[in-house]
Amino acid sequence: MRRKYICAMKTIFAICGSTRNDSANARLIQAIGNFLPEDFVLNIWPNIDQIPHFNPDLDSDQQSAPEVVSSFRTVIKTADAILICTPEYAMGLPGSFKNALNWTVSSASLTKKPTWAIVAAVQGEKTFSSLESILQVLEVDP
Amino acid sequence: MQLISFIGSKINKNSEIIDEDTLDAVQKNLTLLIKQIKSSRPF
Repeated sequence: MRRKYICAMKTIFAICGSTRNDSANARLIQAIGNFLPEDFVLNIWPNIDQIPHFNPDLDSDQQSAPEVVSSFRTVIKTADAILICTPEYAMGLPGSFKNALNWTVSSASLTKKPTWAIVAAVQGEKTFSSLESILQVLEVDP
Repeated sequence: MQLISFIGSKINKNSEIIDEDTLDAVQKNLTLLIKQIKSSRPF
């Protein structure tokens, strides 16, 4: 009898906290992608600054979330793991990145999701601590 | 979770990590993540 082997690709979804075109954090994500085994694929969210300002009124029983937010939640939910690389802006998380995370709270998109978070910054301790707390609230699998 | 300092000088324009300590730390954490993914159940 012939056996069938199914090689299931694993997906890591990367979110870069920087909105810069040539950010060091984006380059770090690319560098990590180069180390992945063949059965892993790295997908990178291209435009965190295109996610609208968080507003619970836009995500209620009366109104479904904006399309880009739904897409963002879907790629998180379907990924096997999340990679976050973010800089520190003014002693905290970049606003665009925190805004994107806010949209994932009610959908519980990150719950129990294996997550590797990197704060790549000149200092970064405060952002690191803040991100750690936020990811606890989001109940990721650290 | 990982904190990397002075990132700009540790990654070149070709997205290569040029600092050995950073490279080691990244590879160790990536290995842990891969193990975690492979051992986690779909939910």
